Amino acid sequence: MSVLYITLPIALLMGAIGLYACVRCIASGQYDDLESPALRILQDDVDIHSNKSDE
Amino acid sequence: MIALERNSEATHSLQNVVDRHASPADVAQSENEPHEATCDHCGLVSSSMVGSNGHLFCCHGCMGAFALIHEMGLDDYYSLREGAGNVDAAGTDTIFKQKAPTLAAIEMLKDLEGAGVDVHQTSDGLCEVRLTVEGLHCAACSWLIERMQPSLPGVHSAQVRMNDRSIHLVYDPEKTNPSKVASRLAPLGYLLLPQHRDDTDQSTNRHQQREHLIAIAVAAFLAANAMWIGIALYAGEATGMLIEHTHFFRWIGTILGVMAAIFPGRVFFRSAINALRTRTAHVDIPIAIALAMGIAGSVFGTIYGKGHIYFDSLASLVLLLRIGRYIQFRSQYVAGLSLEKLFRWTNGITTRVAEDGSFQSVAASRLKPRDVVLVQPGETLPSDGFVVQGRSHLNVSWLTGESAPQSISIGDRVVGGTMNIDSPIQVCITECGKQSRLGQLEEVIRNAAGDRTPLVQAADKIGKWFVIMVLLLAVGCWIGWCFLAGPATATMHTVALLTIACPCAIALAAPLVITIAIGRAARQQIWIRDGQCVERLAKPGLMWFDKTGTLTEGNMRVQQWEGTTKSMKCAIAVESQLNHPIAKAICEYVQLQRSKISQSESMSTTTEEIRSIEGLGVSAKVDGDFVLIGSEPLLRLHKIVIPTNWNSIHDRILRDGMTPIWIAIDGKIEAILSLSDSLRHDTIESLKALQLKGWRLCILSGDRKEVVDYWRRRIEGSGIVFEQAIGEASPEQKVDTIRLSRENEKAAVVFVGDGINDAAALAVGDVGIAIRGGSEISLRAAPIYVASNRLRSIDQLVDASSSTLRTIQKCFGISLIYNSITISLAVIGLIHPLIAAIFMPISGLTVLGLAITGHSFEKTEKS
Repeated sequence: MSVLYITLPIALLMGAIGLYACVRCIASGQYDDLESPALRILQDDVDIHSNKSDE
Repeated sequence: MIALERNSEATHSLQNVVDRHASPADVAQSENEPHEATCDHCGLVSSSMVGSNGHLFCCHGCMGAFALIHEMGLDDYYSLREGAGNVDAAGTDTIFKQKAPTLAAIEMLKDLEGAGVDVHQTSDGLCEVRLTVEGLHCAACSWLIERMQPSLPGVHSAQVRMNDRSIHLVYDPEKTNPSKVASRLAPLGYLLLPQHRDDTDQSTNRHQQREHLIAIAVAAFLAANAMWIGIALYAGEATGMLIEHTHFFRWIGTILGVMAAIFPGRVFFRSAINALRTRTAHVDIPIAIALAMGIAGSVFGTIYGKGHIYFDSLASLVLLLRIGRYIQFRSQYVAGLSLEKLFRWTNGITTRVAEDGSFQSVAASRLKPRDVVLVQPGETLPSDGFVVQGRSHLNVSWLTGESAPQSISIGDRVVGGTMNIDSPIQVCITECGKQSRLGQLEEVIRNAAGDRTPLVQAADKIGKWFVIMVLLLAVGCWIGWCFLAGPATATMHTVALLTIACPCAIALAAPLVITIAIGRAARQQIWIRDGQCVERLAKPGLMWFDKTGTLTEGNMRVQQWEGTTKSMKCAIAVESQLNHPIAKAICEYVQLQRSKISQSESMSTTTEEIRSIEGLGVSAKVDGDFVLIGSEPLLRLHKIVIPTNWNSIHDRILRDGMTPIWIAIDGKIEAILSLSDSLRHDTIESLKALQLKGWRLCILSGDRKEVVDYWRRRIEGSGIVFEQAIGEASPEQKVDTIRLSRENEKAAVVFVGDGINDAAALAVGDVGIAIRGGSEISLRAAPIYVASNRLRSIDQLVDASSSTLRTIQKCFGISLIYNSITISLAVIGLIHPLIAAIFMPISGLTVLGLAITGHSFEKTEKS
């Protein structure tokens, strides 16, 4: 059972890494605007000059 | 009604807006010559239009998007989107916004400092700015702008953010500047502007939002892990566990619990300390004490290896409380956003006249008293002042509800936010910013929105007493148990008491239920700006209805035309130049009759000197003949006597509840036509439903008394009783009537209306409800906007409001009963702190569950 002394801190550490990533996401503003990114994914990466609708 | 409605719309006539449903022939024409029109995709008004298959678009992006949507059979998108009310508004106000200021905006962005734009220098020599984008309507627009970036030299990144309509530009200051970017985007109809001063509030808001989310994330992590460790400990207690493992788990759990109290939980300590300093009872005080006692008890228990430790309950308590705080914060933020939109009808650019007579574009927020500004026709006055040069007319309808243009000349005082109609004027600014009338109004509305609704206030008061009572009980409980069983047991029972007696269910209930109701209403296309309205609509009171456009469709139709074909020819020559419901009705009728005329005469005419006369009608010169079209007072104004042979027709028209319109050519009556409206299909049904619920109904209209009486009789024929029906009410009289009935009435006084005439009345009532089809201005005045364009929605709204109120009362009741039972149990010592910690969030969750399952708007969702 003494393996607990190793696994428990590791488990917490792994969780903490996830938490750190989550906090970084929030702090960098990824949660500020939940509207535009959802729209942006619908947009193709086409250069405007080669866009057909530009005729 | 005609008389009053006419003028402001007529002022738009010069803009000569192409009708949205233009025929293919018209489209072909507009491809060749620049024409002002609205985009069929995004609703933007632009002078550079492209056309395809009878539709008009502001840009190729929109045309592509439209084609795609059409191809996929998703045309419903357009009808859904129109519910948001953007399109109607775009047709009128945007014209004025888009045209003239474009150059001024580009000019102004050359001097970023003067325009009040914050420029951030990045370490690699680039500049970052955030600007507001006007004319941004849809994803296609943001796509287009973002795709422009590679073609703009020196611009490193251009990211559009849809939720606050802004763009984030990163550029090389040596190669380009925001002014150049603005001039590239302007031809597409997108206007870059400095951000408004409110935007600084927004960035602090954003910052707070991040803090909240981080706190929730950390609290969730700590709570989840503390809980698993707690489960391991209980399992160990049941099945046997090595004593050193128990210690190890306890230590880790305690560390997690203490971290939860210190990091995400510190706000409670902070606000408790602040509350203690100002000697007020705050909900956070028992929370802070419970947290502190929990920490102390847990640490004590861990160190000495005995007693109960509460780290898992501590951590989950902190998590739940933080989530509650975040919900509160969000609802305030959303309310704040809707307010900001209210005050954004000016774009904040103005032309200042320098001492040497030259003009410069500056941000309106930078104006100082004694500055002289030039206001072009169609522009909005930036602030209060007096006219120093020029004479013109002002549209002051937003301010007073008075729809007739006000004539102004040198020396007259003018108020910011009003619109200059016909000729350029120079205004010397006397007050600006918060001192101006607009600024004060803004302040009033902001404060009103910040006001806590009576129920929330009541909840706060109950919460405060609750806190004091709980604290006293806790002291008594601790002392009592100290004598009976010693300090350890006393601490345990007191922590249990403080934890379980959390009044957050009470504090949370009202705002939460109202927020949820507002959200649900929005899905039903009922936009509620103010939570108080929900409370006020819950009990029946007095409801005033405007007639035109509210009880009736508001679409005027020509029913009869008694007169010469010449009158038709002249009428269409004049009215086709105007964009007004009556003008449209006349044109529509003449189009139908067109075959008759074209056989006899040619339609080509020259129309000059179109003038709308103080809202009575129009006058114009058609082929040199002086033509008058309008109501009887207009004829009287021009001293035209109505021959007696017209009287019988005139009387019959009035008797049938229709509105007569006269046409006179060169001082001689040529024709009389009758206009009438039809009831909305759901008027009878909705009024009946409202009456059954105990609402008393009245009509308040600007239309003629005879017409109002006719409609009253017609609606009363279906078993509906109107308490009063007032006709020929001017905007001021409407305001007075509503005000008077508010004074005499204990219950809520509601005004339902639309149109420019109603703006002030909508604002004066306890609750103002604007029905779609009303102008943008009345929507600014009304706290509730029914975008579904159905009268039935008002009935639903009333239903939903009373069920919302019931839900709140239920939440209060349950929470109070629950708390009094659990508190008594805790004082007797029957509740273990752990069980208390489990039950505490349960009371909060009960409220949450009740709020969500509450019936507000649910019945209507099914229908």
